[in-house]
Parts: sequence; structure tokens; C-alpha cells
Amino acid sequence: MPEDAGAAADGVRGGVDAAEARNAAACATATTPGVCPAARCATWLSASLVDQPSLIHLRSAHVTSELPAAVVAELGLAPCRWCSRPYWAVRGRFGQSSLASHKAQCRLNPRGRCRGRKGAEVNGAPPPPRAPTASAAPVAPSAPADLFAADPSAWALAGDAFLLRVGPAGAS
Amino acid sequence: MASGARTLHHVPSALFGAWRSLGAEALNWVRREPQRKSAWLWFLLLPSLMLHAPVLSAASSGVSPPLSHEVRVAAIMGGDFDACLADRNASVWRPCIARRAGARHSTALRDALVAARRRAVRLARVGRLSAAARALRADPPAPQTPAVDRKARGLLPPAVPDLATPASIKAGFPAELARAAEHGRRSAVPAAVPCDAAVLTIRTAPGGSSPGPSGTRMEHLWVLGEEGRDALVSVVLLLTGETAATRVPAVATHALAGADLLLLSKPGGVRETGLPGLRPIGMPEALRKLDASALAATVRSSAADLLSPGQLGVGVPNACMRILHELGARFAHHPGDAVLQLYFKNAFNLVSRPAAEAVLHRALPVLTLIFLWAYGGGGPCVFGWAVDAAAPPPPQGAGSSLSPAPPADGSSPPLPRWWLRAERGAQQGDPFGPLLHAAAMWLVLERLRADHPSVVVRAFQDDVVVVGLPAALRGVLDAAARLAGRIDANLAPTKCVG
Repeated sequence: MPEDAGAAADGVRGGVDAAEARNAAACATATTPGVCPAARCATWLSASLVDQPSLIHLRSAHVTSELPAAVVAELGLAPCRWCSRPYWAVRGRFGQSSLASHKAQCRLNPRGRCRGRKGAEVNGAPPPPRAPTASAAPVAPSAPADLFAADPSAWALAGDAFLLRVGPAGAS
Repeated sequence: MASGARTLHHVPSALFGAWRSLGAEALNWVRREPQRKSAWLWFLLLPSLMLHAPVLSAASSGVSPPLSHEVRVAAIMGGDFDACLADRNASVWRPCIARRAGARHSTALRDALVAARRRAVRLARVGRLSAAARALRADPPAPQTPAVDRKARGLLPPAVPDLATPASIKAGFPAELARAAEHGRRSAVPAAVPCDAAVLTIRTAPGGSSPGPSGTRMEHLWVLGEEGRDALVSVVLLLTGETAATRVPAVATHALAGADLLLLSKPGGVRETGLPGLRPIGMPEALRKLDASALAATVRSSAADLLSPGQLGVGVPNACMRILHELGARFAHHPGDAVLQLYFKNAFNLVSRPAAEAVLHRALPVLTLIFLWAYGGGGPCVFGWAVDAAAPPPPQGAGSSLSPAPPADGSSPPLPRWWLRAERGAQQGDPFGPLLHAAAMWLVLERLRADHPSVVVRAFQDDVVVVGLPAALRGVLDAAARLAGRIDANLAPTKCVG
């Protein structure tokens, strides 16, 4: 933006100023038509950001991290846990936010297919192996501990040895 | 990698965290060290190792039950990759596997109907309603017999010495190639795919589509975390840029260029040869589809500028409707005109690659690199179904059966699959294929338009219509047959409608 160019000799301070200016401009467009506030997006939004057409553009063309924090806070948006797209997190008149209703239907939601059953807890780490029972599938002959987290270099070495065995000659 | 193992449509909860970690790690490894063959091998092997779907076999078939998802994760995170590989190999369907007993699997026809309905429901869930309707009306798969195998090889014939060469194309179409070069000088197409185009391509890729030989699906890539998605964008850009030709090993690009082949029976039943007509459907790698789609989006408008108005098969919305309206207007002003419809036999599989390369290299140089790695080295491989060890050997020629290496733990390897090299034409399923075909065909169309200015020539890919006075159409037909031979297209005059 023109006011950012050469605004400060200090590069860091200049960057902060630019971000603040962009946030301020984005907040101004929240109630008036304007250019989409997302980084590197030049789409003209004919309605203000609080209106449905603009919200549809934001969630169909951007993920939340591409939007200025001020806009996200101003509009009450939050990222979907699965697809990271911005949805309205404020409860509507039916008692459910658009974020909550979207998350249940998100096509990236791995639990969407077994809705109604007790879904497994999904988190960043893999779940521990289940204890074998008479009806359960057999455990691998020598199922070791989580080497990937405990000793990444040993895990990588095991992976290299495996790739050497299964790959074509000279795949190392 | 082309094991034939089916992969799950979605990443299940039990595998979610591990897939996000390992998928991102594999993509980052490829991004960091694109010259390492083992990095590419790991990236292409991981989906089928981790996300394979076990075949539903009878308990009495003597095969050990498949590993549960939790055990699979524990094995792969613990470094016991051989257990996962053995489990994956056991999950490949083979004719000797007895299906689970029960009334639900009574007939093959019922199986096919249920499979089509399930596929339609899956496509409808991701919003692809047209694809869902097509799935319900789809032609049935062709029988997996050696005779069908031989007929399929006839559809994808090997290269022969008297095909068109770059020199013959240059000598045969100098004016058209000069025009393509002039377009390339004027064009505003960027020299590389922009990052935004790659991001948009990944985000808008159609869900529910079939995986390639490695089993990677778009749904698997979409669930990667922030780090994995960044790495995916970098790898897509890497493969569309100069790095693909300079640093990525040829064996990796060759693997990425491969595709699974599905043969459907054309409507009309069995022909006089005792076999149904075959409709080949190619299913390339997800990464290859992303690369080609990103490039196609980058060059689409420029390609449409070059190819239109003769060829409307690329980048022109409602092309068939436009052709119909234009022909209607022509007939209104020239009621004595007639229509000639040209029929090119097996057009996509036979069209000359040097012809397409000559046009695209001059007009859209950004496509040169992907053309080199996807179609270079003798052509991409297409993989058919698993062949039984007792089946007769395939005929000598471009392909044979692919026998995977036996696993180290002594478990049974997957059955070998027949394969062949697509040495001619556009590869089936390649998003870049329509542009390749249209570029080669454009040479013929432009020459026809220049030599016969009194007629209107319009085409949507290989469907070419010519409108003009009946006396002029005879000359157009002869010229089309002669010019099509220069780009290895095979005009069938007896099937042309006039």
C-alpha cells in the first residue's frame, strides 16, 4: 500500500506498521464493499464482509490463516478443525454456529462416515496399540514401541534399510 | 508401488495422526532431497502401506486375518515396515480368494450394481452430482481375460519407425508452427506455475476420484496438516519447474507418470470378434493430476486464444453449443451448404506426440518440462489387472507382466500385473491429454482453414465438422486424410458422415 512504502527506516517496525495498516483497512471494509482482505487476493467484494456473499467467498477461497487477525476477530470467525476454512463461530438463532454445523459435514472429517457411533478420539499422536483379544486381529510378530517419536534417527535408519530391500536396485 | 492394493477412501480415525505425521515427513523429504530415489519411493509406497483396505475373504481361506488399524500404526511407527508390507500384499485381491459366504454376494451382476450405487453415493457426498449420475449409468467393466488384454494392447499400439518426427512436422507445417511461435512471443503466460495456482488446484481438485498406482487419493492429501500442505504445494511446484528435469531421478518421474488402466465394455454388446468394444479409462497418480491441472489452469486462456476458432476443445466454455449456434447461423445465410463430419479412429491414442510438442514448445514453453518427464523415456506405463501365474504370457511387444520382488519375510507377494508402455498419443486420464491432442490436431485444422477458405471448420477435440458447398467438401475430405497422416491420425473416410 502507498502509505507503507518507506514509512519507517526500521524494517521491523515498518513490517508491523504494514500489518497494522492492513488490519485497519480490513476492518474498515468489514462494513463496506471493498477488496478481499486476504493476503494476495484481489477479488472485489461487492457486499460488506459481514454479508453472506462475502463470507461465502472467504470460506470458499481462503483458509483462516490467510485472513488478517483483526478481520477474523471482528467477524467472529474461527477455523474448521479439519479444513481450516473460516466459519462463523457465534451461535445463530437455532442454537448452533455455522462452524459447528460445518464441522459435522466437513468432507475432510474422518468421523463423518461413522456419525452416530462413538468415534475414536483423534489427536495429533497415534493411539496406543489395542490389547489383543480372542476376536481381535493378531498383533504383528514383534510390534515395537513408537520409534518414530522416541528415536527418529533409528526409525529413519530402519526405513532406509526397508527401502533398500523393497526398492529397485540403486534406489538409495 | 503399482501393487494393485486398494486404499481407503478416507483416512480413518485410528490412522489420522500417524498419517498426518508420516505424510508430511515424506513430502518434506521429497522437497528437501528431490534427487533421492528413496525419498520418492517412500512417498509413493506410504499410502498403500498405511491406508490399504483389506480384501473381504472367507475365514477358511487359509489367509491370516488383516492387521487392525491400531496394530498397523504401531508397526509402522515402530519401524516394523515388513509387517505392513506383508499385510498390504495379502490385501490385494486375487482370483483364488474365496469371498465371504452369504446371500449378500449372490451374483456378479448384483455386485456390480451395488458397487456402482456405492460409488454414486460417495460422489454425491462430495458434491459431484454429474459424476454420480455417470457412475450409475456407467458401462460395465470388460472381462479380465487374455483376449481382452490382447485387444487392449491393440488400442495402445507401440511406436513404429514410420511415425511423424520433429523434422517431418517442421517440414510439413511451417506456417502453422511460425504462427505458434509468434503466439508464444506475444503470450503473457508466466514462465512458471504461480504458487496461488498450485494452491487453488489442490483445494479445488475433485474429490472421490480414483487413485493412481500408488493408491494416493485427494482425500489423503487434503487431511495433511499445515506443514504437510505447504510441502505438498512445494512438491507440486517442483514438478512443474526445471527441477523436475534436472534433479528428480528418471525412475521417480517414470513412476509418477504411470497410470492404472480400467477397461469398460462399450454399449452394443459383443462384436463379431467375440469381444465387446473397449473404452480405456486411465487413472494417473494424484500428484501427476495436480501438476497437470495446475499447468493447465495457468495456460488455459492462452491456449484457447491460440487454438480457437478452429479447435474449441480447450478453454472455451459451452463449446458444443457455440458450434451449433454458429452452424445454425451459417445455414440460415447459406441454405445450399452441406455438413461433413470427420471421424478419426482411436484419435487420442494415436495422435503424434512430436506434433503436439512442436506446437506447445513454441506457443506455451512452460509446458515443455512436464511434457519431457511425463512422456519422455519411451512413454508412460499403464498397469492392467493382476494376471494369474497360469495365464499365457503376453505377446512380445511394448509390455509384459510385472513381477514384484518377493518380500523379505517370506510372505506371499502380490500377483504380477500386466502392463504396457503408452508409446503414442495422449495418455488416458492425463489432465494434460486434451491439450496435447488439441495442439496436434490444430495443425491439421489450421491448414484446412487456410487451404479451403470457403468452408467453415470447427472441432471439439477429434469431433470435426466442416460446412460448405457440397462440391468443396470432397476436396476437404481428401485433404483431411492426407494431412491427418502427417500427425499419425487415422481418418476413416467410410465412417465420415456427409
